Amino acid sequence: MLKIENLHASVGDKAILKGINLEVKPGEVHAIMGPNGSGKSTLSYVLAGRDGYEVTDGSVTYNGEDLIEKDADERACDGIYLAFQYPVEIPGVSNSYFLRAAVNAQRKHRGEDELDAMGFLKLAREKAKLLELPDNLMHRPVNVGFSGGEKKRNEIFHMAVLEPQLCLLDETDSGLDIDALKTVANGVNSLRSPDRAMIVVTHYQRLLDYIVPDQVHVLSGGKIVKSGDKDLAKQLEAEGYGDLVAA
Amino acid sequence: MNAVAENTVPHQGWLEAWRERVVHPEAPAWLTELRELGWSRFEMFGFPSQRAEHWKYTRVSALESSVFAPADLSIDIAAAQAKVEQLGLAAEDRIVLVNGVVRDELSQLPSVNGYIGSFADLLRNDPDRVRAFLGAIKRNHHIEKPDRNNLRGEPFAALNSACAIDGAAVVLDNNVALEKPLHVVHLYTSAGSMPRNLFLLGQCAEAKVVEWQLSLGDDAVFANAITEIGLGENAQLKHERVQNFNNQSWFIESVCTDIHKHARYFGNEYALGSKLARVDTLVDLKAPGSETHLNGMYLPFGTQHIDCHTRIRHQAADCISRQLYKGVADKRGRGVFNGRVEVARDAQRTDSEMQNRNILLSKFAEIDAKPELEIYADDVSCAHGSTIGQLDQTAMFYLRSRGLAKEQAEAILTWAFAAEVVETTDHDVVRSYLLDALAERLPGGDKIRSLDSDLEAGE
Repeated sequence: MLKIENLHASVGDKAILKGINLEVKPGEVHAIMGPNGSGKSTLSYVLAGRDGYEVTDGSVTYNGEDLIEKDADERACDGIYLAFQYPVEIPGVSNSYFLRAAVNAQRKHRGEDELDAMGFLKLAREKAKLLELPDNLMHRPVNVGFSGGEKKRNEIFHMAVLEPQLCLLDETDSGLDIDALKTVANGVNSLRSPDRAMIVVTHYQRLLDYIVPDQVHVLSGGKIVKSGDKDLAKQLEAEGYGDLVAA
Repeated sequence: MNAVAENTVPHQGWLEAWRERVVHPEAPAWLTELRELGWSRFEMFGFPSQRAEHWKYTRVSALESSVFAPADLSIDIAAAQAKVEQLGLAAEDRIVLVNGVVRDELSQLPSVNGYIGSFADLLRNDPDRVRAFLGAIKRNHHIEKPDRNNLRGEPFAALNSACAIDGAAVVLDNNVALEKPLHVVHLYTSAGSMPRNLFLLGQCAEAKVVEWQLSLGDDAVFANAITEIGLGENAQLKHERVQNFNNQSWFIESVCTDIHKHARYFGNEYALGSKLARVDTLVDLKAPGSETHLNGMYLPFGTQHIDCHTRIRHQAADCISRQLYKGVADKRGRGVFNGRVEVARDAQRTDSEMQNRNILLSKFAEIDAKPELEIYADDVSCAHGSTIGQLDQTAMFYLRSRGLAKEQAEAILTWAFAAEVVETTDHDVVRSYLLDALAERLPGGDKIRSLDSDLEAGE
């Protein structure tokens, strides 16, 4: 589904990713771990198509197509979803309005009919229930006045409604207490399916107790320095990044 | 008298008609004196030139050559009635004024301990009550000590003092709380009007007042309004002002509020424009524990010019002020925000914040932002910030990463930017009116508005 080869990327003049190789198949969950400043978030942004994150070498192929040249919205319509580490507050625009606009932009792109208000609300309520989302969250302005946990749950709620093929979760666990983490993880797990892949970027091993990955990669200095199965995360938790980072 | 008549100022032509109208043989001597003072000050100031610091960005010289004699008061009541209904105010408590004069047949006045109705009637029936307060205008507008280089709305205030014959008056006795919001609806059909509003709230009194300043029809109007507000101890006024004129019209307003101990003034200003609008919002925090929150939105579109000046004076300790003013300008629209906070030497523990944010949607649009702080106390917290710029790039990415095309994401963020201030209103009629205006003006706004209503209806 996703093939990253020798990916180099810069922000401004600063080279951050320095040769990443990664292949993700449908149904797989990959965890990317690493210390602060290793390039984890940059990788998410580069894959989602954020302006200002420039690919300087290498390639990214998604479903057989070159991803790099596409704008962020086009990638989203092709099924890539980024759950933000810091979801943005948008006063004056209701969560349900924003989400419906997104759903319909994507449906239009796929040549499907747009959902009317009733159809959308039915879908949204279904998914909200799945995530135990408080009802009023849908009608409040996007992320405005949401608690940290509510913001992250809202990101997963958007993901559930948009039903992407490739989900990028950028430090979805940071700032959450254990109860909120469990709720978010349950939501994510309910979205795992044989034709959907996930890349979970996290600083803490704790998340991976609840979202169990197929593969774990350690990112350091803009490169993947080690890959392994879920036990690698446990090993990192016990031993720290010390040796890997020094290497 | 002769001295005034002989004074030559270039705008004498149309002002003469005003001069003749306001001669009231039965008026008390003090009122005549105040009017004469207004005239003489105005004759002295003339219309402010751009050399005056507070008129640097706003040119009113074209007013001199325009003709704005006193408006005809025999107007088409049906059209005004229709407007009131269209605004959704037919069942609301309201004072309706047409061309600056209260029309009882259009109004629905609540009965209270105090007085709600025509300023002219109040002046006739209870002149001493008015007199005690009107002195404030002298202070607020430097009429006693005019300073030509530091003029704000003083020339226009002086002109209003000389010419006003009516306006809306709301006087609440101690402990009176208005149950329902009171709408003050100013409609202007043509020519010149100079309404004078007076809101006096006694100790612990409370009210919500929504003021509408609107042109009715396509004729050019010149409205020069003053609203004077006095809040007694622990009183609270929530005052919202919606302003929307046709593109031929001029709107000048001063809103002067004195706030006493522990009293609170919430002022929301929504300026949708006119050919030229200039509003001075002047708030004096006069005693410890008083508080004011001002929110403003100005949308100069097309060739409109909107100038919002605020001045908050912290004159006592432990007072709080907050300001959030946001501007969106498009095409050749021109906006001005000049916010000033003054903290006197005795105003220790002042807590003040002023935020001003602006977006330009066209390369021909312009907004001039000028936040000013003048602080003489040493134990204060005063924050201010002002930005003029493009949409937030992180937010743009957030929206686009969900599948929204660039244009649609920009439309939603522009809408959100303006709607932040709209959302601070207490009134559904105001919210709905403003969102309709945003829908009409902002790119893609009509679609955002209709889809949002859809979702609400789907509930």
